[in-house]
Amino acid sequence: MKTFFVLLIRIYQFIRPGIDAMQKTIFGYVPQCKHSPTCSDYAISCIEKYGTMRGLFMGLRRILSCR
Amino acid sequence: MNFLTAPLLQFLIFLYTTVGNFGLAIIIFTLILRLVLAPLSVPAIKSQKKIQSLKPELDRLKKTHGHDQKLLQQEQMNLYKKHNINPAAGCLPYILQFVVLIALYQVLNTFLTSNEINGIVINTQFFGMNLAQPDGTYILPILSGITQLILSVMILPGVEGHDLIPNNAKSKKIQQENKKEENVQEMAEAMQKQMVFMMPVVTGIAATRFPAGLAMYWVISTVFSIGQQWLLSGPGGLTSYTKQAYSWIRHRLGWQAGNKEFL
Repeated sequence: MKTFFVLLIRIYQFIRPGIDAMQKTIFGYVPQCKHSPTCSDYAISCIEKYGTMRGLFMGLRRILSCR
Repeated sequence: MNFLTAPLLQFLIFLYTTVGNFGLAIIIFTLILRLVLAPLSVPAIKSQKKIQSLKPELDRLKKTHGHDQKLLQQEQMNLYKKHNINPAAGCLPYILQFVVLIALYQVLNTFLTSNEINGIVINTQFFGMNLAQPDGTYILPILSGITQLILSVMILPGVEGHDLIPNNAKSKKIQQENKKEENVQEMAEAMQKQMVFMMPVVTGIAATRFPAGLAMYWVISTVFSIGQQWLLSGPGGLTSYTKQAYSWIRHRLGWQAGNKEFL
């Protein structure tokens, strides 16, 4: 369960630069995020630290806190 | 999705009936899209350039406050404020744009693959090419790959700007954390560099499969992005990479010439 979600986030992290490149091509820019570490890194460390459910919840909460 | 694609498609058909040419309609559509987006993209590219010029200072902040994420973020924000940068766009615009990206693809695909929309017969010929079919001449795929490579290299960050500040934090724990942070950063940079050469290949291959009109839309968008980036932020990584490539080629030729002399 834990490794599954971490793997899922890792896959997202792998394809993200590709999506960025597509956005850059079509729109000329990529909206940048203010968070550091990125939400996905944060979610992974939360999952590893606090378990799957709580970690996912914390990651989601941070994504939603972003405007 | 329909609420997005329907008006866009309507607009494309309107353009087609006004100009009377399928390829021209796609070109004008792309240009209008980019002009509409200019108020968003121009400040974003400008602030990105400023952030890149601040990289040494940001690295220094990371070195000193790397162990305290909250403090680090605050210091970063202070630095941005001092230089009048507003980097925060957040992920909502990112997701929204991604949705628009897919909608645009769908609209163009429908426009390209249907012979008739709302009773309007569409003639897909453009410069002797059928835009509804994949480009058999490989001109558009090669163009899309090359332009993609140029754009990717231009925006490649941290080519020579690797920070040279020694890792001399006082406590061992901070040192270790700095090291870890560095590793993560290096991995991200390596992935970005890989993408620089992956994307053009993927784009080129995809362009041989998709309808030529879609490939054309891609090439025009890329060229527009290159121009915009160049005007607002300069050639970026292009300078150092062409220099590297040039010296590599010269080195190769020089080596061969030297060899010939030996023979």
